[in-house]
Amino acid sequence: MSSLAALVCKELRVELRSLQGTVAAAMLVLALLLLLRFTLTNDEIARARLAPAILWSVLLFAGLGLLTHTALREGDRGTGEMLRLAPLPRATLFLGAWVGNLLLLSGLTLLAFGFYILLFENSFGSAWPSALAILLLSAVGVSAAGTLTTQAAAPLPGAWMLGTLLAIPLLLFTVVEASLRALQALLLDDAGIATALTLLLLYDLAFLAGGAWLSELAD
Amino acid sequence: MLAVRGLQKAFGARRVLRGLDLSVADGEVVLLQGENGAGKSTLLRILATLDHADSGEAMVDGFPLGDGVEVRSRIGFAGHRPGFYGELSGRENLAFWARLHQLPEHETDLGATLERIGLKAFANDRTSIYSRGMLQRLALARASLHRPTTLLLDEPFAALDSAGRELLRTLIAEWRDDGRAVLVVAHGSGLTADRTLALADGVLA
Repeated sequence: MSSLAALVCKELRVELRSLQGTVAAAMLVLALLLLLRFTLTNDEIARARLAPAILWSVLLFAGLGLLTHTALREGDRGTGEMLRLAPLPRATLFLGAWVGNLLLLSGLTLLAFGFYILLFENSFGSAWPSALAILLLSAVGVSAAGTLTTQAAAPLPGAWMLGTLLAIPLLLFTVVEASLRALQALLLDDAGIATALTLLLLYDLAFLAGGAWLSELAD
Repeated sequence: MLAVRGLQKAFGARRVLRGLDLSVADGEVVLLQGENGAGKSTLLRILATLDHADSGEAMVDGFPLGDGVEVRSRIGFAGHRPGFYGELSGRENLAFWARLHQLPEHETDLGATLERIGLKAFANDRTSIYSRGMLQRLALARASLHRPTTLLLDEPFAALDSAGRELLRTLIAEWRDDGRAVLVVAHGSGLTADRTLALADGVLA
């Protein structure tokens, strides 16, 4: 097993055995969706095409909360320091954490989308698999930027909040905006979806490459 | 082999290391002592590449500390915090470390390692139920698992019972006989070292 695969397996095994982060994030997803369900009518959602905004409001906060949990856990236990003793490039440590976070975030995205369909009308109709695919593609960039900011913030006071606060401005006008545009284009059957998806892919790659590079630089 | 020349480190206005020189030869055990806050742990953390020195140089087997991957593959470090995943068993924690070092499975007899440190009966228990002394034994096993040429041990006798302390003294003697360089920070350990140095005012006395 390669070092990268060992890092990913460790991330998943630790989280799936404790379920601390995933259960808390899932509960937050459900609570936010229920809150929006009771404050918005189906007419308002359909008229203003609110489905993408609802999904992103939920995923951004719950997702970044989950990534903050995984980063802080390494610092609190001293295991992050142990990882830094491994004879691996720092980029490998970043990529291991990123893949683990991406898989957890993808699971959360599937759950959130399922809750959304159950609680709201399916605004995407037969295009719902495409909408889900766009959200999963967005998870690549969210997990890359989130892994970077939560790991950077982990040793600082107020890290539980700081990582999220740093990630939101990074993501809002890049991955989130491109994803929102792609989802809106899907709702309107608009040709602009190709441009939005291209942008989304570029942002994903930029955050992933930037995260790996900055990790090496920080050594 | 470990060689340190002119190492300096300050935390704000407080200068902890002031041009420290040190060498530990292969097959040598050096015991480092000093008052609390003298900078012993800081020195070990710098040598383990966990912290950076302000100036000076240090080499492990001829590799400068800046060559992190090469240095970390040659160093075994046991610090104040055990740093294990509580959701994983003792065996799984060691197996994870072996994979990070890309040790071939046939060369890593984890069962024998766990038996050697007296944890065979607890090998498959999650480390969240381990006592502090058991975690310390596991940390020592992890520090030597990849057969490092240089061992840096920061208060390794802490939390160990009398049998554990005797085991550690035996392990250190074996590492010395294997030709490894061992730098130990400890007080009242009963350890027989080749040299005992005292760190005071940022330099070795």
